[in-house]
Amino acid sequence: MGLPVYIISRIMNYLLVIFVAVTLCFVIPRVTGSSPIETVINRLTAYGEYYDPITLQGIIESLKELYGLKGSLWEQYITFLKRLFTLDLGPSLTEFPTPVSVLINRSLPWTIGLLSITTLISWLFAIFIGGIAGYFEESKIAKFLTGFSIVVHNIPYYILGLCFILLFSYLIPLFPAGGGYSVGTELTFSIRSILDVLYHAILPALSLIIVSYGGGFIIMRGLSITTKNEEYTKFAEIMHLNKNTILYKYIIRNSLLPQVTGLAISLGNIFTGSLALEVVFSYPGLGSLLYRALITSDYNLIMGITIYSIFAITTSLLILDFIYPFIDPRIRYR
Amino acid sequence: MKDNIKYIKAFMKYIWRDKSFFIGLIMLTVFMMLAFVVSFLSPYDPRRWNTAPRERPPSWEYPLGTTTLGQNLFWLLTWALRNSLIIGFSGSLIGLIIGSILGFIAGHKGGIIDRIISNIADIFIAIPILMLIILIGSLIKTQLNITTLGVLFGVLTWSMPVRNVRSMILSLREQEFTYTDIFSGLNLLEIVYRHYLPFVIPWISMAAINRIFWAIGTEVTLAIFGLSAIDEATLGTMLYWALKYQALLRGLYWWVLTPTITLVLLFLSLYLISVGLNTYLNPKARLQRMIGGK
Amino acid sequence: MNNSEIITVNNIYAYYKTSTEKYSHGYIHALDGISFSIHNSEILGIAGESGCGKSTLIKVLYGLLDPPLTLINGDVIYKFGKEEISIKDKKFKRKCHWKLCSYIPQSSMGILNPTMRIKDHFFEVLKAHHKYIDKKEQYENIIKHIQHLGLPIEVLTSFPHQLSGGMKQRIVIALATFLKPKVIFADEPTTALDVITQKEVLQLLLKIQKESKNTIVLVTHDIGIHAQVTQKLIVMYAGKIVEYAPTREIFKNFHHPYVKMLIESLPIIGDKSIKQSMKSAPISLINPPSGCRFHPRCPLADDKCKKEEPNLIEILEDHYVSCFKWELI
Repeated sequence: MGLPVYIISRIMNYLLVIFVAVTLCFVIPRVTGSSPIETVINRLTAYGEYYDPITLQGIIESLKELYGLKGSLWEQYITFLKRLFTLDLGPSLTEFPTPVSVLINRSLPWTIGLLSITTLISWLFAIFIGGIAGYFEESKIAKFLTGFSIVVHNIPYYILGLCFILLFSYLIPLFPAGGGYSVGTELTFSIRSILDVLYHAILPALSLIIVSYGGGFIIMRGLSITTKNEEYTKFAEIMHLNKNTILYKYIIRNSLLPQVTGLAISLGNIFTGSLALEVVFSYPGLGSLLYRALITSDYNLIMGITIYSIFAITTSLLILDFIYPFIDPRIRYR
Repeated sequence: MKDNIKYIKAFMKYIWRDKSFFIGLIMLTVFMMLAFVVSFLSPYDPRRWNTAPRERPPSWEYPLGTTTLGQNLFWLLTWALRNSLIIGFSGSLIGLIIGSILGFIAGHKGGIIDRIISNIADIFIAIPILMLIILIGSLIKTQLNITTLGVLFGVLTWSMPVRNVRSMILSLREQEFTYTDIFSGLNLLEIVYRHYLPFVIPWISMAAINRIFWAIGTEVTLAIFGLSAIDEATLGTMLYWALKYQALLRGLYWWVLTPTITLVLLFLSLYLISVGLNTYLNPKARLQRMIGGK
Repeated sequence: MNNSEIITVNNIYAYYKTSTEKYSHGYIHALDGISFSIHNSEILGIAGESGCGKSTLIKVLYGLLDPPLTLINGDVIYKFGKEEISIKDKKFKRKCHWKLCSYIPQSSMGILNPTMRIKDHFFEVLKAHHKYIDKKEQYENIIKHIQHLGLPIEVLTSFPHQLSGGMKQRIVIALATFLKPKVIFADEPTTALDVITQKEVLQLLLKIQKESKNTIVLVTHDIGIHAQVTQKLIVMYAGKIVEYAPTREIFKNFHHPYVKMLIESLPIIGDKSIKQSMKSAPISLINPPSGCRFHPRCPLADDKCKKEEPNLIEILEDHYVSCFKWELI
């Protein structure tokens, strides 16, 4: 049967991609010639402090150890891989000695929560509304929806976010202008706290949902129109099957596979776009963390977030790969 | 030559008929004029601080207002458009050319070379390039300028076209007329020019436009993180400085809205053009138009 | 119409609207003034070359008027028992489609929904045409129907991509006959199949007709199939009927130059003579030639043929021809 082979080949591919990507993450900093150690030393001596050579040497040695720059290139690589296995991404520079992984774990739930829920909602809407709009493409509502999506889907998330902040935080003070929860309050599992989190999430979520919906709608509508003209759909109409059946079992069902492929292709963009969105909203996810890391040149943190993101995206792609067999019987039964 | 004139005429007629394509084209022309003609007319370098009174809202004298740093937003916008478009074009074309050549080689030669190129390209397609760009950007922050940004985007996005071009070349190769050519002794360049290019060009133009899109957008995304060429004028950096100086909080809406709205309109125009081009070049879509239309 | 007529075709003009760069608002004259009747329990064949309008005719008969196909003039009236209904009637599709008349399209590999099992195709047909179904009971009916047509039960749980072209075609026939319609339209049901499967599919159709005594209208360009299967034959050319008679009669006693060339081109075992082909090329239906549409290719054409259009006249009992020179053939 085709299925076990498919699953195994997907997993092998996944591992290969991660391996190559991670190796690139290792190689790139060493190729660009920037030295984090220099940055640190410069910062230390920037205020005119004097360190005698021995202390300096000691500092450099420990920094080398921390940044994994000890030894030859090959030894560094092995150390790098070993540490990754144990999820050790090193300590953060600015929040020394907090390990990078701890910082990331604090921010991760915010990003994943926001991103997964909004992507799910927007694509579900896009699939159903887009599918129906494609089938009834002459109707006025369909045309309006299409026009709306055309305008909206191109807008980067953070731009829409800025517009929302302008409109609904400043001009009409309805929503908070940023943050994940009210300043100074505690995060608990109480209803008040949960509602507070949701309240703060509305504007960023709306930005994500509207733009993602627009993109998904356009793809789905196009697919729906193509599927509408396929032979099997025409035959279903000849057989005078129920309109509902044609819409769901013929049009939407058959457009699902390319639609999921479309989602997979845009996953990288959706992810990075939402990171930028978080910066605009000061939302306490990976995006804001990355922003802080970039400003303070926290080398380890930047590296950690990059690796984590690569891992998150490729794993999501793997999950999507596993969804395919359920959608397309041709993969299940060869 | 006569053929080409016929094509151009038919194309002109089509532009006239398809309203959205037309609008997109007009908008893009306006932007191009602003970027490549008007920008050279600026009386001073708009990037320099204090060349205009600070924080003035839009008025007759300063059509788009001024910034906290004393910059005239109108001239700044023209320079920003120019640089963003340059980044867009170069980023798009560099990667497209590299990828197309590799795809062509893979498709035409086949065999081991094909498999090596395809496999490497497939791996790179799966890697989220944006994160790598952020990583690289963070490391060479000081060396980022218009040229390096363009080259960076170009070099890292080579993998996408490989697959597409390769499959097109593969199917073309199997067609009879290519064999006739090979047997009749036409050399490689002529084969490429006469047979492959006419079929590959529609796809390449579509891809080029989409990539311009992506490159401009990515530059702005980088700018939000402060990873763009901060001292240069691009749409992204305009936004960066506006955010940095809390333009929104302090009510300097025009500073934020200028790059924002320009960006949205620029994207809209590129999108309309790409859709129009697609319907024009894609025979299936043309059939749809004929059946559904007038 | 008399009692045995089940479908009457009245003077149909059906065109395809085109909007190409050259011809804006041009029309392709697919059918220009077609009239005939179909009788109960008969097997009618429609023959002709590609582009003569036979597929269009069958689509119009079934009431499948999807743009750009437009019925400019004329009507098709069905008679079931005492009731008459026209295809132009808004309720026609809901009342008749698939229940009283069914249509087997020019099939290819993509005719069945790739994400639905075969049995689900049947269930959907039932859902659409009956108000309530008891799944278990109906599944028995489906199995019975499949087996009656000589198909293996395993087919029901398969997906379309697991089946061969011939099998898919037989399933389409099974779907088309499932609700026991009185009329079945088949558009080139055997074109994509190999010769052996062709024979099996044709025998299946014949078997169904024998048992249910329904009417079958068979469109194909393959004259050989018409010879084997049909009882009456209509030969079309360029959107018009050129000859219409019982099949045997047409083969033995044809009276139209086009039909003559068609039949004489059929290979006979042992015959080594060189076949003649027609001069000139198939005509354009956007600007059909004046007068008789066959005149550019007809060896007997004269001035009258170029100016006037011949009407379909009854030259013998039940034998119609449209040609000025019919006596010469």
